[in-house]
Amino acid sequence: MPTAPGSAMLNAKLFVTRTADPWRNLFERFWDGAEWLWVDHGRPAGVPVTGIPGAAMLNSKLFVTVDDGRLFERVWTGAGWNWNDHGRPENVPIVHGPSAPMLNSKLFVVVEDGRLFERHWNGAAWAWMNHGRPQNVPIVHAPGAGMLNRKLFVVIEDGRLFERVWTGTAWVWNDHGRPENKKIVQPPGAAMMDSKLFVTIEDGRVFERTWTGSGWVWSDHGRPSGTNIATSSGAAMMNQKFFAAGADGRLFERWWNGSAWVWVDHGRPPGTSVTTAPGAAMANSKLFVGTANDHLFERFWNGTSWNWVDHGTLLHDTRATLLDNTSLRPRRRTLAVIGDGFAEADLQSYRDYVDNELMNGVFARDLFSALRTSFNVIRIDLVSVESGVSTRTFDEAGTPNDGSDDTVTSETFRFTRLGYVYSGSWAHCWMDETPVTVPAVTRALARFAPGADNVIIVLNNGGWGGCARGNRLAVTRGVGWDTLYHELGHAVGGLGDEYFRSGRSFPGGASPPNCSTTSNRTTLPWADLVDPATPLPTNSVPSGGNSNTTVGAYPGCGTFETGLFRPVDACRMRTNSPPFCPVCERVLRGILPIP
Amino acid sequence: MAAEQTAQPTVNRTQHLRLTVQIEGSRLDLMHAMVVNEELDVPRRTVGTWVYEWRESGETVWWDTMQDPLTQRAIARPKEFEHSFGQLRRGDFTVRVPVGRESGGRVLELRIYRSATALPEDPQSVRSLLAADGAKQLELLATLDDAAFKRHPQWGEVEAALGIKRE
Repeated sequence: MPTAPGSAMLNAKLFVTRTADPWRNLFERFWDGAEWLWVDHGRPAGVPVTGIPGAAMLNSKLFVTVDDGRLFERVWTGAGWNWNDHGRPENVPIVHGPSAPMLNSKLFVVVEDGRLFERHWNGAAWAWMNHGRPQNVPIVHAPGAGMLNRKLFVVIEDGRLFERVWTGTAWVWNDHGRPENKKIVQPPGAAMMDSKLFVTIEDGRVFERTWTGSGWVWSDHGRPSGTNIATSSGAAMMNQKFFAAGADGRLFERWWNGSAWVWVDHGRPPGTSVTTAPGAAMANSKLFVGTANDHLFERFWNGTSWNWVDHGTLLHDTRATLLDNTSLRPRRRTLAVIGDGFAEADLQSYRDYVDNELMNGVFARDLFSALRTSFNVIRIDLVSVESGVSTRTFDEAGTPNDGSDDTVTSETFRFTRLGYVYSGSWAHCWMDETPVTVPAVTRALARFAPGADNVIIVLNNGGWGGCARGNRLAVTRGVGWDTLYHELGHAVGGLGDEYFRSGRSFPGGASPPNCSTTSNRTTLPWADLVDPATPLPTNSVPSGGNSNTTVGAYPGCGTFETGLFRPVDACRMRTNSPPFCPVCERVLRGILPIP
Repeated sequence: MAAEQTAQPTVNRTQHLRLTVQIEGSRLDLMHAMVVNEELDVPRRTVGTWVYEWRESGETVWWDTMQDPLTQRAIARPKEFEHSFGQLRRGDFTVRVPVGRESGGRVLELRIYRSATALPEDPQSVRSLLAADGAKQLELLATLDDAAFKRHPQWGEVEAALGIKRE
């Protein structure tokens, strides 16, 4: 489950913590100019992060607390992110905060015994200052609603609101009491105009505390229709609106429409409900919430309407090197594998597929097993927001071999990282790319495998299908190692197919290295591999020969029945099953750096 | 011209430029550019029928071969062996060329060719096809000129990675 989002910076990043193992780290959600990415900041000193990241300063630092109650600063040095240990005030563990940052040099926390502490930069070093407890009653929530760089508010054990204010000569506590004598049950928030803030009370209503110019007054904002407010108020915008979550998981906006305050129901994010306070407001048009399905959702005003954007679980993209021969020279061929449509819960099935079909399939058999030191294999784990890829169904008009007369009958959209659309139609290459596909693949390679020579993309779809374009091959989870093997023959070696269709004649032009236009014993490209006793052309496997290894010039290759000859009767480039023939093996060995 | 004939093996650069390029008809668009801190090795054998040539101030610095980016190939149906081939109007491909700091001050050009017949196995033999006056085997399909590189939004990062400082 994510914490409430916090520490918005530059309208392009925010920070959030995950509250369940094994990922109790600090995570950043970052807009890189093209897409939102999760960045895992890990945990300081190996201690899990607790609570909401807060007290952002200078767009380059923020603070978190950790399991043992220490405060840590996460700071961008200009070259990298560093952790700085601020320890515990008086060695008492911190339990609430950090929050209420001021002047880019101070923040506040609450410790285990309910005292408020200030952490400030005194010009030479960071120092703790003890603000104690108001009326010696423990503070029970994070401090909030900082104003004018000299006041903030806290809620104490009996539900009263207290102000901590610098008078110019000293810090003092001011008791704001309880609205209608009911307990305040959430941290104070949504400070506006340095003169008002909002609190949630025990019966689910929101109250405003306002300075009128002559005194502080309470105003009852009530509750939205049909539910109580269950979080603090946050994501204040333009001094006229803030957001809070209802007990029923809906997000609500409280908005001053120019003449009155009104509740605006934003509903629930698709398929889930809001579980955290709203936070990380950006550009007066977006805010973020954590949800019951462990996702982060954005609520975004597009100029016309409010929209939900699913940011997925807080899991960052990673890479794993499955074959590492990068230390060898000449450089080895790098094969990158990328998954599309694998959400966090699906990642293991993706990794299993790569292990079973590529590493223990292709690279455990025949030629590629012998050539493992000629490759680097990098698996890139992109975490998609949704599980599965988009689909498109065609009415094939009774002509499944001809895609030109097909019409789309249905489509389902899935928000995935590479944007593939699976159709299951052979005539449509089984799948389509979308405009986001090539840029997304390019970015993934730039981040994780900039030296990639070939790319295999695995779609999270159990149907059958695979489509090769340029140096990319996309396959579904339904495709096994034997098909991958054949396709790598195309992709790595530029090998042609050795099957043929009846009646097709080679029209001339370029032929692949494993198809010959001649069966002449002296000009056949692989003549040196032909036994003198083998007839040319070779209409059948010679007696005592082997369909996979007895090299000749067998009619039919490159999909053409006549005009091209193949090296053997049965090679992996004719069907997927047998190993590569001696000619295809020689081509591949000629291309790959051989140990 | 003898020196030109062997230009590729003499390149001694420890970085390379990775370009993602889109082709549609005779138009090339640079989609992505980045410098990779990895030395390229001279290809051992040609693959496919397409050729790219990297020129700096008119000098051929590098070339390599690739498969047709405008052909898509569907895998066979289950228990069958026949592909479904499709011809794309627009395709993309990756180009990798060795670059150095000195590249920054030169006029850069990428040329894309297609061969009507099979290319020689030896990549060095392709060089002569590029250079041959009135060569017939290679058809020049498209060119990406210096201005296209320099106006690309990532070009500043490329130059920075090469150690080139602009005023």
